[in-house]
Amino acid sequence: MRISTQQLFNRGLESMQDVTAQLQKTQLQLSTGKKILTPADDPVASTRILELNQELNINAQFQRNVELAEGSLGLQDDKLGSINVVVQRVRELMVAAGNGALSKNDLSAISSEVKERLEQLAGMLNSQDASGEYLFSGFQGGTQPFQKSVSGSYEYKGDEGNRFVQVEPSVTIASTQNGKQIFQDVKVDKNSFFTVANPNNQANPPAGITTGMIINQEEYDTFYPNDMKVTFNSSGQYSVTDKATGREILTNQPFNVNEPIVVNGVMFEITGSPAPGDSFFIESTAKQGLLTTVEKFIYALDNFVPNEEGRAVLSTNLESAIGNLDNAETSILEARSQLGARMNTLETTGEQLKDVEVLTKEILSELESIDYAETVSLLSVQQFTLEAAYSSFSRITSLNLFDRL
Amino acid sequence: MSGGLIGIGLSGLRAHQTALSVTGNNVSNTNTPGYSRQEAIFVDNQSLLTGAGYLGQGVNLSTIRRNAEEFITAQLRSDTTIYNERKVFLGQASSVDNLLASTTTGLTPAMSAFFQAFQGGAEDPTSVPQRQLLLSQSEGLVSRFKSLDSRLNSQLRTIDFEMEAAVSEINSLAKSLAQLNQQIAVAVGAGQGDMPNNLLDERDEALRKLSEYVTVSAYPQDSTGQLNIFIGNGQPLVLGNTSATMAAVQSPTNSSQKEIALVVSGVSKIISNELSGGKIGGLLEFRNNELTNSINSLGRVALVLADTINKQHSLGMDLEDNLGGNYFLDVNETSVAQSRISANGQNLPPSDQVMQINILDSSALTTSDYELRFDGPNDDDFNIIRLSDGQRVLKSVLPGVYPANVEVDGFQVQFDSGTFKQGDRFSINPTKTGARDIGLQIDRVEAIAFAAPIRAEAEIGNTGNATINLGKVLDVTNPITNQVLPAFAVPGQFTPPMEIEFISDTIYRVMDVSDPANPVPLNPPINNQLYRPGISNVLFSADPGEIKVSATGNDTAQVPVPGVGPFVNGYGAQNLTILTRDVDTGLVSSQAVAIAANSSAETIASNLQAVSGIQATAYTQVRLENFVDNGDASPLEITINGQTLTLPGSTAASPDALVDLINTNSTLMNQKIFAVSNGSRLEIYASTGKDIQIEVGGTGDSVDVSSIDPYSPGTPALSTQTVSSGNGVAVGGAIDLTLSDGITLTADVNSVFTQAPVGTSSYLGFQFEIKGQPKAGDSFTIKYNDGGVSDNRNALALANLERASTIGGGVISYAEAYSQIIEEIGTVTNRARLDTDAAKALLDQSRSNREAISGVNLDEEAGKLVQFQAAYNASAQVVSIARQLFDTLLNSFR
Repeated sequence: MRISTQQLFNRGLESMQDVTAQLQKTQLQLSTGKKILTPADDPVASTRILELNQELNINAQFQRNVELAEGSLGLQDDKLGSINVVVQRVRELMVAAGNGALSKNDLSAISSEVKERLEQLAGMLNSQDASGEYLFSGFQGGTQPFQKSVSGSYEYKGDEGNRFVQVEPSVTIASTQNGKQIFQDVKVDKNSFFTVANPNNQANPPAGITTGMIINQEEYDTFYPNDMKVTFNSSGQYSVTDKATGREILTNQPFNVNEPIVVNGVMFEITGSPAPGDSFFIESTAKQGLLTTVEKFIYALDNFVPNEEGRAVLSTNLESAIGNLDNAETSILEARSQLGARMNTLETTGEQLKDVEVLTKEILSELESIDYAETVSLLSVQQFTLEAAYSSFSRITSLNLFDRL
Repeated sequence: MSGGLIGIGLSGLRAHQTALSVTGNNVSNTNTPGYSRQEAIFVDNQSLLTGAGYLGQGVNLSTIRRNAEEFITAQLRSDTTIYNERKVFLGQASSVDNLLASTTTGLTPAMSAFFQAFQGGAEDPTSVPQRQLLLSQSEGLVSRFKSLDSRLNSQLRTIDFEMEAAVSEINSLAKSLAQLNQQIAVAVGAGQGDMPNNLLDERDEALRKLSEYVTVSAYPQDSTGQLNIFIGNGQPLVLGNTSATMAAVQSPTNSSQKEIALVVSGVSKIISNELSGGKIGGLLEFRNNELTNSINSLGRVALVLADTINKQHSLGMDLEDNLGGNYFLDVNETSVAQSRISANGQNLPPSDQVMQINILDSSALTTSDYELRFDGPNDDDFNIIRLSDGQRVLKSVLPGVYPANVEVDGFQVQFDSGTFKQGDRFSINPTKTGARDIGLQIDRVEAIAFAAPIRAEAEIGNTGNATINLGKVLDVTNPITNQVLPAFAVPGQFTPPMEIEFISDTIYRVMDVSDPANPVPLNPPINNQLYRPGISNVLFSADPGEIKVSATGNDTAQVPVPGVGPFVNGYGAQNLTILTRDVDTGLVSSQAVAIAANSSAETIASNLQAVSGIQATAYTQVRLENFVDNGDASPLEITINGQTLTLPGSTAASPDALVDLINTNSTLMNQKIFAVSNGSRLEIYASTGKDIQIEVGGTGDSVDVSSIDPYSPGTPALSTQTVSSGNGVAVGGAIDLTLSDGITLTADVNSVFTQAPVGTSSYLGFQFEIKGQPKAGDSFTIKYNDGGVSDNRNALALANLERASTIGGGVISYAEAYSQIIEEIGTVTNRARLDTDAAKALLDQSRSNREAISGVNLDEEAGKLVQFQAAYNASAQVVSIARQLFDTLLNSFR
């Protein structure tokens, strides 16, 4: 075959360019450590690499979520632990108050301490995290969960929200627990009630209703689970009705401030001066909040009448107070054990996530990392080829018949 | 005789001198592009007949031959075309390939960061720095979309420039080819059979250059040596000595790109579709397939992202207790929606059409462009063609009133005004501008909606252990009517707040507790709902098309006049017609249900329940009050549905005592009849809708019996009858129907149902579930989640969208859709590399073939120089010998 002189030069130059291009690619692979420089090098693998990187990103986020959730659960556990200590102290005081030899003065001394403890408990239940969010108010992180009502008793102002964090593609774990679940939804030992003023009451300053206590459990048990409603009429008298049916229990009674109202075995007081139409509810409940239990204990101490009948009332009340407090303690312990279980899960999940991360990184490196030994030897081969091309080119092109003429 | 020898010698001298010149010319043109090696062809002269036979008369040059092979030249041209096409395609593809996959320019890092910020927000929803981070990551994502889009679009622009350059090059080549044709014709005439070698080389080289740009075919024209030259699929470029002109003109279907046109007497005709091969073919192929597809696919990712995030975000509640609204700019903002459709530049005036393309179901979007064609035969007839596969996806007719709209592949074409004529065409690009148009709507951290707007609570006094979940918002606007649902109509509120009341352990109703002291039924009512312990009870309808109808005709409110029996509820006979429109086909079928006179609500409900698409519930409520016992020997006796209940003694004629008798009567319990009392009056409730039959025994005693309007308790009873001893009465119940989408009901007379009962949508747009074992009297409240700053439900839902299958019919996620683009471009680029290498090898082969024939080899020429020089020298010797011979002869005469 004839070879033209032009072709001789062009071919030689082109083949050198080709080798240079390959050399440059190998060099780039070596300097980046990556086999695949653009998706076109291996479209399937590069899509997979994108996906794996995405997985790693999500995995890292989940690991972060696990860490944060662990921190947040740990904080709650600490708080619940210290709350439990105070609860135990209150229980000691309850047992102490049961001593029949104590005088009214002794009891009021206990009452003073319990009042302190109540405030301490309330403060703990209103704990905030580092960013000022209330720990136990459900979704209402900006709302103090336990606030004093107009009547001076604590009410739960949070909600039933529990926040979840995502720790695995299809797994979410509660990172908060609302106060209602832990401190409010506590089973009562005996049928009980709580008092609340109608939020629509007109009196200014608003009239309140005291915590109250049961002075005759048997009588209340027959009425239970109905609720009562205390309504004031225009002449300042009050009536007590069955809240659901409207049946009248007491009709148009004269009202004296702070004079106890006793009905269906329940005793309570209306404080302040209610406006006509104002109403108050005595709601039966099978559940009683921790703070209410302590408040009722204080009420029972403060309203102790030093006679035999009074002692009997106090001891019944103490009995149910201790029972209720034990239930509250159980509820706190349950919450703590749930926290523990979740922290356990988080730990396992965290480890799994780390395993997955390692595995994913391995696959990723198999896909995209170069084999250095292989690539370096490829580089030397290419280098050698290029050098050979140089020397052969210069030799071939120096051959010319004209030189010999 | 010796003259002959001189002549022979001279002919050798002449011929070899010329041959040396030809060789010299070859040597000089070694590096001339397109030059074909020339060769002097020697022939010996005509011999003379002598006595000794024919004697040769020297040499002559017959011609100077050009070493060129037409077939090989044509092969070289076609390989040049293929190679250039692949090379240009590869160049374009590589640049997109690098752009999309790079970690610094690709979408993936920005998208990951965006969703990580959502996860961060879910972790700590009140944190302002987290929200700030999300905002800036969102801005980052938006600008990444926009910059990718602008890079891809600038590539469109580059392609336009390259096409313009190619067109001007083609034009100048066409002109010189026409001139060469002209010169060749003249030279061939003058040469009388000898060919103008250099002109032919020049023309072949010009043709080869032309073949770099586009596919070329050349056909010789008769004997003049001229070539007719066609490009693409037979578009004439040069005919004889005239050349056509090409131009790059604005595309009529796409204002952002150019097309190639052939200009014939001032009129340009677009021939882009007819062109293939060469640089132009490569550019067009890349632009029309890969680039357009990449832009559309990227646009689709942006569009679906904006749409799905917006939808989820608007179901949430922000830090200031407002509903979330849009996170990104509304994907159907009018100016954006209008820019998705454009009139073809060749439509006849007037161009007064106002249209827009609304995205309805972003998950159904394809990456294709579409064309709206008014193909006739009437001006109103139109078709929509999906350009990716050429399928007609819709054939329809304009209704003649505006606005009209049609829906196809997830988008809606909305005709607002204008005149449409047969022949009009419009380009529809649903996703093309998606990445360009994405933008942030949210500009304040407080406005990011991490919370859900609703929550539920169990009353603390509940005695059962049932729990309600926190609820889920399905919609804030009704997806059918596009109206804001009533629950969310007042900003920052939930209207009305609701309470779920259990009136027995297994029956609940949902009440409006706008006034907590006086709950009223919802409209439409949710009464007499059966609760199933042991499973999670879904409380509300999830069907946006569902409506409710209640039996509120003339008869239902009445208590019949008491008598001695038989006791009937007094309901009239009625024929109901139920029309069912099939949601998919639109076909309407009719079904008749006859109600016999005095049927109980239970019977009517079970007849209607048999019709598919209807849920019926029936219940009866009766109030008894004013118990009068005259105190005689026979005490007040009340018989309820055949069960005689005797109240012992006149003092005990109290509702409370009766309640106990009713609620402990096993027959009544089996009939699901129970009662509640408020001390002075008694309400009896039959939860299956059985008639409640009250007979009063004793003598001279009486009881007032009233029906209760179940749709507005608290208002006075509608109808009251005093039943005295010896008489009785039967009271009928109420029926509530839930009709699935497409079902309507009419009645022939106004008795149990009114003739055309008004259906009310029962779709509330949210869902709650209760599980566990409730007790009668338990209640749960549903309200607005005001103050729910720590709620992260919506943030979790938003973060979950990262992995949700939202694109392409709900099959792939955002990231997967983006990696699909990369994979596609990567594959195309990879293929283009291989193709380019293969085309290069073929081209090299053709070049070698041509060089083998036409190329100049200097060694060969050197040899020839020596060869011809030797022959020249020898010829000179011949002349010299001839002279010596002549001299010898002359000297012999001296």
